[in-house]
Amino acid sequence: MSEAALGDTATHCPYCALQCGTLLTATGPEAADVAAASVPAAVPAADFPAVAVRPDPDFPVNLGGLCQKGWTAPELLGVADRLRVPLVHGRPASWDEALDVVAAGLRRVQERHGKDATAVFGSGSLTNEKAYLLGKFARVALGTSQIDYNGRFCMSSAAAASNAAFGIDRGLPFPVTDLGSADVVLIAGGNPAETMPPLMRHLEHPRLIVIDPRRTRTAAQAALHLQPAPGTDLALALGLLHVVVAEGLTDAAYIGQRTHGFEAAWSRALSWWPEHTERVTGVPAVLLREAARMLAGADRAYILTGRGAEQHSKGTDTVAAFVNLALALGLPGRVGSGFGCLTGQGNGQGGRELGQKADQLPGYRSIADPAARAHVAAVWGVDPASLPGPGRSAVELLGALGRDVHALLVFGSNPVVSAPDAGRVRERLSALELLVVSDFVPSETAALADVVLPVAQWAEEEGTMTSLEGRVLRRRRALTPPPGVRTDLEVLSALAGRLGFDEAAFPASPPAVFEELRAATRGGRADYSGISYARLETGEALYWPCPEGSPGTPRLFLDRFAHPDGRAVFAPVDHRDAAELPSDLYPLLATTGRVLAQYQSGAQTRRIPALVKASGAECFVEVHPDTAERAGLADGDRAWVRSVRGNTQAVVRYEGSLRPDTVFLPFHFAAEGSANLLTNPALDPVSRMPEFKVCAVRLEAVGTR
Amino acid sequence: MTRTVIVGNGRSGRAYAARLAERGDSGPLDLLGAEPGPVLPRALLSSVLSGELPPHLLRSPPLPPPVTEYAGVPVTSVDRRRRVVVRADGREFPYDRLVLATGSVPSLPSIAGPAGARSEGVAVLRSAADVARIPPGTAVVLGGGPLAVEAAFALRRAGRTEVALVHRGPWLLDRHLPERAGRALAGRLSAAGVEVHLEQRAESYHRAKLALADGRVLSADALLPCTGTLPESRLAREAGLPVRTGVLTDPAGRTTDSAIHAIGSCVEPLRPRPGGSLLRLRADGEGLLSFGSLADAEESVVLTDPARHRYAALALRAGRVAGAAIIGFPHAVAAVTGLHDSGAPAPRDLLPLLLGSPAVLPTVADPLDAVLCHCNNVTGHRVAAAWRQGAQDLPALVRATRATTGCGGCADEVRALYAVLKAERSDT
Repeated sequence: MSEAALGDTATHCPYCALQCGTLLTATGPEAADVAAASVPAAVPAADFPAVAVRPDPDFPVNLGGLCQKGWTAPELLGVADRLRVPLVHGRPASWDEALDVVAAGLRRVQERHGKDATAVFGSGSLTNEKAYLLGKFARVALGTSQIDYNGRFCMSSAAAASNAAFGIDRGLPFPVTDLGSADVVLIAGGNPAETMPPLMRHLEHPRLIVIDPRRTRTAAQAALHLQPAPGTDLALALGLLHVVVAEGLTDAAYIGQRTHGFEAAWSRALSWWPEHTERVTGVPAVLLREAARMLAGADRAYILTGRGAEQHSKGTDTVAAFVNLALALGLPGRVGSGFGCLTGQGNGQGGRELGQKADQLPGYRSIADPAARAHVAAVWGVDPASLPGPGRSAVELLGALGRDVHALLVFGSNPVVSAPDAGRVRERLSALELLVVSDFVPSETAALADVVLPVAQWAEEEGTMTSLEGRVLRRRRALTPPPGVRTDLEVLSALAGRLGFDEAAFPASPPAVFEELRAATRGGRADYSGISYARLETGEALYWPCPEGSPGTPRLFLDRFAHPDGRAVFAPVDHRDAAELPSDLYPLLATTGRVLAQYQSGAQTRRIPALVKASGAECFVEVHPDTAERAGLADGDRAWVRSVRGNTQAVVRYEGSLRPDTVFLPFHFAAEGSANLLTNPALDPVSRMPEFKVCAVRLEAVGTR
Repeated sequence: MTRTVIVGNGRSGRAYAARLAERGDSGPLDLLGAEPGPVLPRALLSSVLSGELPPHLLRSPPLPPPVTEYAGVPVTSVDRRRRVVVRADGREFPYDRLVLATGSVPSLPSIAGPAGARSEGVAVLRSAADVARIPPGTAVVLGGGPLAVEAAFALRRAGRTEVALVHRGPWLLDRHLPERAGRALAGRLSAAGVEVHLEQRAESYHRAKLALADGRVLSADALLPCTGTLPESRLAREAGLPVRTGVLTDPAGRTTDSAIHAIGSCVEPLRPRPGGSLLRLRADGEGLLSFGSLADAEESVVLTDPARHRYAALALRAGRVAGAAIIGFPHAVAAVTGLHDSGAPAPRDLLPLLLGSPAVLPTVADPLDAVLCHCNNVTGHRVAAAWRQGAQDLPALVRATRATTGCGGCADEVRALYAVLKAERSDT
């Protein structure tokens, strides 16, 4: 913290899972003139933020880097339509009134339809404390099994595959900084150059192999870009394993000593010889061989997966196929090599292990495990039998709204934009008796809510976040929240009180919640019990699992994997088609993703002028010029992209590097520019993640129908 | 409940069993392996030959219930009256429905000599066990079709030093490729170290010597006949089912016995397809693809590069690629195969397709309009403007524009622009 001046607040960027270290300086109006010299003119004086941000040069993950989202994050604190007062049916209300309406509504629904008719929808952007308390609130105060979160859309497939293979799921089971000394890094379905730019500082030295249907900015920097048809990356992973085994490039000693199940997994890859893989994926056999040899020839290599591998109706198997490849090469659990998942949301890691997932209790414990239930019930002071069982996953929960579920509390999420088949999601949300949204901006989901609760945001609150490398970080408060705004923890505490529970059991103070969270995770797979605010204040780099007295675990699996016998497990997976294939009516494949200047549903970043200037204000669709011309469209034209579920309006952008059978849309935009009006809610059978990455569409010029 | 027996655990037999099992409505299903060991996928020939892949790794994944697999004992007869299949060990398998998937056997050419095509040293390539029986040393492949070419490449890749290929036809793959493509392939085989003999006939084989029709004698510790296959239809014939070379069936695979089906390469082909189906050679880096017909094209593109043994021809009809013959363009074959399989219209410009290079990206007229730093959306103009406003050293430019502060990948470009701006200043 040498750079931090007196009065600086050391914290982290509010957006992605990289959690870049930042230093915030309060800038009153009198400080503005001094700061103006170092702040570019892009920030209009009227919106001058109350804090200035600069990257923390001492934080090893961003190494002094920050992308445009991070630099402009202070503007988020003062956006013009910031929520500052509770709304009940659209009109301003007092907190007491709003909370009374919520509590009465929840009670009414529970009396009429039972406890499971009330539900909670959480977020991978919430702090650890919020994620934990939200889970407790649902299971104890509401007594409902119906809680899930938007992380189901992001990391659940990698989580399922990693748990099965390694016995534990930590996005990167090694520090980010380890990547820099690798010779080769394979990124399957990830675009960090746009989604987490400072990560690229660690990838300057390694040669990159990038698997992506699009020539993304990350792919453009790669030594080798493999461009499969959307929905065929599982076949590609099998093809890579085939070459590695057929050419005798495996680490046989490692396979024999540290793993199980190689032969069963290989027998599925047996038929995926390069020319067969080429025919299914469209990736030239010659590149497939080159990639496998490059990876096998490296002394130090990593395989990383992103949403592109995960967001499929076979995402778990796809990630498992890449894990198999890593295991065959002997990478995981070795210093300088490994397998990892690039977690997406800011607290995507902490959010998935502290109890807001339908099937989990804090500490990455299974809600179906009697021992786990007993432990957590004891911490919560309740009867284990009173804890509900597993609930519906996110997409299934949204599908049950207005049918089995009649009241929903949404925290830090905007499913009207971010969930698949968004048109149906809007219908379902509108069918609720009670929709409550806790947010700091009037998101598209908040616009449908009966009650909107205005809450504090990143630089206004204390807490912890767990980054993509499993390191627990302090989010610190640099400003007091605007008058009229409460924290999510205060909301939960007050609601619990109104529902007849002791508010002290739902503390509003982040350190108090963290102390309870430590106890609840003690002995769990994600053990936080040795981590404390006091230790974090000393600047210690603490990675979970961190039992009491432990220095934490920067690198997992060096001696053994987390299964009882210490071995990693190959998964016997084979390829299958996407849930929806092109047809005469919908002959193209649409794939969705992100752009640099926007974040997730865009509820935050679409409110920041510099980011809108960079991304454009409207949704666009990248199309190969030949494909566009065949649809009667030219660069810059407005097009309808139509799927069997819905229609999205987007501006055509020629992209000559795209496969002619594929179009790309970012999903950050709302209303008729929402790409998720098109996407298929088909679920992975294990992770219950929906198939955002492939659906069948056609293109039409706007004005034709 | 219907009891199904499948004879033959090759690709078609296994696929059929897997489909029935997946459907979930079938009764018990016995899959009887005709082969003693696993079938050898052609793509893995060189790996097995070289020992990179131990033969036990050729086993296919086990099939799920209700399939039960029996391997290692050949089936000897079918008793249609009692509806049982009888194995060499006498064990009987009753069936309600029998599926013959016995595959094909190599057709051995007629070669003179004391044992001719049955001599020691002659090796067929059907199972992994066959590969293990190939004698070490010099090798000659007979034939000019895909299997022969792949085997010749594979033998060299597996480290055999003396490998020759003898083909009766005028050029390699003469049933699939035009002459210039076939010549390019011969060039590639020669470059890979295979001695290619065209328009040649193997006369006699004895004591590791293969005599050709023109009198030349080739050393051949191993002789691999790859001159074609014949349907394995003995079981059907002996059971009294109609057989020509292969088992005769209706288009749905039914034989004259309604309880017996035949599938895969043991079936008599309906009629040979002119031009053949899609051929993609399984050989590292050769990039060989052919399908359809090159004749009667509305539009065609031909690229010849004899010095580098490359050739590509595409024939378009109704805007689609109706025929292709490509060799030596390994990046092109994937995209052209995709057009064949999807039936999608061909791109307007076929040359990038053949060269495997992406279409040209849009260019920006004024380089200063280009975004230098994508992480912070900074154009060259922004940097120049900051310079004019007084940020005249590199750290100041970075502070004023935030260029280079994201991924850092544009540092060189920003430095270059800074150098230009500095030079302009000293000019004025």
